[in-house]
Amino acid sequence: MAITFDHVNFTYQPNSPFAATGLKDVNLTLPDGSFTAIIGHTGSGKSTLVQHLNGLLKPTSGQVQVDDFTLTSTTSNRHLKDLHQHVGMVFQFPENQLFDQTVVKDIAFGPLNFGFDENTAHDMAVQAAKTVGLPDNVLERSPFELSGGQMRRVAIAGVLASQPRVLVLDEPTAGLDPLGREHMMQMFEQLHEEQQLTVVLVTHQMDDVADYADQAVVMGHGEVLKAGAPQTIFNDPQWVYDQQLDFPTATKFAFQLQQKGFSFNQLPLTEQQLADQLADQLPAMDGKGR
Amino acid sequence: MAAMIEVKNLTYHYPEVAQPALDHISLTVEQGEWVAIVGHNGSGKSTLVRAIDGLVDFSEGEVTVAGIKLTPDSVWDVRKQIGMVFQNPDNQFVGATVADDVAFGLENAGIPRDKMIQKVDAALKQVDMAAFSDREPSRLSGGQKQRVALAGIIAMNPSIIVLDEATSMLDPHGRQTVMDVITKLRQSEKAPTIISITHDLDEAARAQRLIVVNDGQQLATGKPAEIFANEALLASSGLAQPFSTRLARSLAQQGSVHPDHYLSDTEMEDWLWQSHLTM
Amino acid sequence: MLEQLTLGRYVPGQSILHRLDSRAKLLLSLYLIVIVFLTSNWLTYVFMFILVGGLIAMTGLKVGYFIRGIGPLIWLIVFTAVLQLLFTPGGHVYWHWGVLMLTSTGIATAVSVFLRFLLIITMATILTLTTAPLAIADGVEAMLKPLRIVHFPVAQTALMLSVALRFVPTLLDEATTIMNAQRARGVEFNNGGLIKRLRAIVPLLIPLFVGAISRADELATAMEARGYQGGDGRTKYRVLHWRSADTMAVISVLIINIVLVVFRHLN
Repeated sequence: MAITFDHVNFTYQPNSPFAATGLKDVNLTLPDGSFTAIIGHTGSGKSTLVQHLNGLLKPTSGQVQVDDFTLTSTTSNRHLKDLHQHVGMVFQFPENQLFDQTVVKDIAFGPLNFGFDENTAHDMAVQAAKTVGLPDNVLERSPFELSGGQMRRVAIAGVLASQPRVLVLDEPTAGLDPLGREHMMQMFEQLHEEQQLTVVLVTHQMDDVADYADQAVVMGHGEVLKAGAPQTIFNDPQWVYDQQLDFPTATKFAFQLQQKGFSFNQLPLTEQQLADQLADQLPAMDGKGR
Repeated sequence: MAAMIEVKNLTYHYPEVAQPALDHISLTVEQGEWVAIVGHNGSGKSTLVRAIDGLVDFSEGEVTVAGIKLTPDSVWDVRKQIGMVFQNPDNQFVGATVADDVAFGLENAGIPRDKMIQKVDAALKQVDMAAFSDREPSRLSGGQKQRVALAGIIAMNPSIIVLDEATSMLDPHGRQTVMDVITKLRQSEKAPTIISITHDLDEAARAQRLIVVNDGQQLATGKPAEIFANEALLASSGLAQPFSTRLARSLAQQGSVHPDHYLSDTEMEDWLWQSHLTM
Repeated sequence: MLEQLTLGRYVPGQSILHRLDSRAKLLLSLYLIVIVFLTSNWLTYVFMFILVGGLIAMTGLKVGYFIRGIGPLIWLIVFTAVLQLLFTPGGHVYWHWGVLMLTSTGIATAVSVFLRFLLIITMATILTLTTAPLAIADGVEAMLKPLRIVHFPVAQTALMLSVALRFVPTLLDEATTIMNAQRARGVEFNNGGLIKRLRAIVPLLIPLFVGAISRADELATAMEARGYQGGDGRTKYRVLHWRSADTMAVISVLIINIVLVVFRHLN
């Protein structure tokens, strides 16, 4: 599903002393099947932006186009259900939304709400549990008995169960240990590859931007500061530095090597890219130069 | 150097759980040391520091903090020696404003108000939050809240500061600011002993010593470089592989020369440059 | 709808009302509310409305904001007034059907109930809009102090109140997030009949309770780690300052009181 933002403005609690700008003239295109990373400081408008993707917030002015669905300030809530089903949202610390008696019931909650019958919803839930790698023996247990990492998987399965075409992830790996983080990101990558899901990832981890995203959007003060391939964004180090954004680990390492005297045709963003370019400037393993 | 914390044979079971959370664990932390405790989620590292602070009632073993043996009678004296920062910035913010929160521990200790005001101001300056003293917590970022928590501890001037995954819920910038405060504290004259529980590689690398905890036991201890160099230990530590290790492996796959043992990032840079010059 | 509600919210500012001591504001609000309840003649109502209008002007906030803020509560007020209108006997009976009746006393009571509600809600709104929640908690603590004589745990109650107030925005944020998460999973909170709506609340309430309990647990641990052992022997960082403006406010209200007594005698 392709998504387009057309001159989208959003104000929180308009006409009150608490009014605050959320988004300012946002124009953006997320192509079908793309993997977009949204980066920026806390309070830069990232969360406000992604909540427009499935109509949790409606633009104060302008419009959001998701496939053939148009979201404007006047879109009625009744028409949003389709959009909710096709755009799945994984919020920060999603395990905080679990509520049902068993894991499988909690996962099936979405499909049931979207009008699937009990049996179909159950099957969709079992399928989603498999996708996120939950063992069969936890399905009938209470979600509150599980470990933190497993609870997170249950919550993500609860979003995947409705078989969305767009998956919005708001810092999905926050608070996990490094191994859990890596497994989870690989799972999203796999969903993106195998099912051609359009993925939107809100993140502070520049390594994830470098490793997984084909497009990055930098937000600041509710505006899109820059959008483009990660390579294009990081190719202007001074700008990235001025925005007080971080660099991928490999890029930071490359900067250090540049100071020593190494040179890179293209700024490496991943460890693989760095190794590729370094290999040309190092002797081969047998000791002979190349 | 004198031992600041001594743990002997400590055992603890959570109610209705067969597997002990702490299984006859023994360890020592020296005065002024910076120790990082690492291990997978559920390895018992958080329970360990809580037991040292008398926050869980262990069934077996002995804990001595700054020469005070931990007993139900001495628990409040032991807690005076230790300041703890927990994981969730929201769930340890007691006061209605920044200054009130910093004052909470001082109020508990019955410090007179005029002294309290000085200590609160000084502590807030030390964590670079003086400009925020009237702010309510809902208007602070996670990193700012954790620095306020640190100020509340600095004001009490404890001998030991425990960071119980204090940076794990923060964004990289917030994490950096918290670590900067700790680094600054370490440079002061009466540097406190630091125990940090962490999954963050950089945070672990800053410590003088790592303790790897697994299944409620001390699996290994050593300098960060020693632990990082041991792949099997590293896997049980819950830490990611250091960048230099991963880069070395990628270089090997490229058929290029690569170091055959662990190097820190700067050592790696030097090594690569030296190799380049031999070309 | 709830976003519109202004009662209970605080808007930081520098008006005279903002700067008054919370004890003065609490005392005077309570006093004015008692007066509204005792009010029985129209002249007094007119006077009270002028007074409340004046107070609104002193807050420095827009009048429209107060009017919109009463919006969500207007049905509650109208409902109460209509009950009074249809069930109060006495005076001239204009119409009656079964237990329902329309009497002159009923009309008078309904109008006065309507006006009282309006006044009280507006006054309470003025109080909360100009007084930080923390200051209200401090004010309440100061006013509870005499209860120490009967061994009422004033310090603990005050701390409880202050912690509760501090967690209101946190829990509201959490409720919004959970609501959004469940809406994204197809829950409709504002659609369907009563049963459907009640059922929609379960997936909101359970996570909210579970979250609140774990927060409480962690907070208790953090407080214990920071040496909290209950109320005795604690010193206080925060003190209230009674200034001449506060004395002035009390004197003004006393003058208002004299005016009201005069009105009463005029009737």
